[in-house]
Amino acid sequence: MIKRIILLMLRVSLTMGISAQEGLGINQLFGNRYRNNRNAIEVLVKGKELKDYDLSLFRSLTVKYSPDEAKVIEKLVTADAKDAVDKETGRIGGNLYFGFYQLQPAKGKHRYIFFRNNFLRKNQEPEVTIVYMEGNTTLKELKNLFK
Amino acid sequence: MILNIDKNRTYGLSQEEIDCIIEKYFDGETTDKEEKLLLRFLATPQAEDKRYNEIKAVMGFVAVGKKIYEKKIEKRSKKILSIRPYRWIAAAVIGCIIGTAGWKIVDNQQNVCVAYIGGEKCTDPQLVMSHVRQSLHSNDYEECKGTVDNQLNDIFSTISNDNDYDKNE
Repeated sequence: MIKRIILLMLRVSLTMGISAQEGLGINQLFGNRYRNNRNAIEVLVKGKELKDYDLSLFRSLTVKYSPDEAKVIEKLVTADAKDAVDKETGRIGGNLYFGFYQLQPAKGKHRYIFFRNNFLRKNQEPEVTIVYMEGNTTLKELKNLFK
Repeated sequence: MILNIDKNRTYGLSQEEIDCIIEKYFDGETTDKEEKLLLRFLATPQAEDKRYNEIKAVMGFVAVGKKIYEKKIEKRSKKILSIRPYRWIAAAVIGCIIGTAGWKIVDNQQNVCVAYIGGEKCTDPQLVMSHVRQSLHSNDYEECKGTVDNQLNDIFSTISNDNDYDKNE
């Protein structure tokens, strides 16, 4: 009986750990890939800290001094953004400078990817940033909230 | 307890009846009532005769055995009674531990606030949230030291105000 309860609890906890982010190419950027990189900052926030923004997940990755990494990230973002329901992008010299994408909702949650490649601009911190956000808030609400 | 026994009585039983009961006793056919009568009789002076020594010895042996057996049963039931509450307490404690651990796991999965800064893990919510702001900031971090609102606003200002690129919508 106890064994069954423990197994059930494990299954529930594992199921709860799966987010709508699963299945995206950018998922491979988060986790162990950059966590030990001295030029990278990875942020993962879930739950109560994001309550005010009606978001349930915030992930970001900033990689400095590595334009090559920017290209890799750009590729993954572009691939994930193919089926975006809404997008705003800006290009410099044929490369993606910024992209804000609203992806197809998954598991009843809105999903957003923000990408910015500062390597393409002079006088800016040489870094590339990718942000993944997930929650109930709509793009309009996000824009209204932060304008 | 002192038994009030009439020394001259054989409890309404004749010598033959007593002998018959003893015989039945050895055959294992006596009733409880008959055994009680026999016991009472064996406590009377009439039972001092040598021929009752055997029945006295057997009944005494059985009585002692019964007492030992009853004591064992009593001890065992006491043990069972004393073990059961411990079992319940142990089960409750295990339940609490599992519940707390489960709650912690679920809580940890639902509420995460962590940053890996230059290879070092940071779990200070204020510092992590400041990096959330930084992640969303485009030009000058010093400009937007204030609120998350300002920081996130920067994303949208980047989208709407930057003219240094070819914009696609």
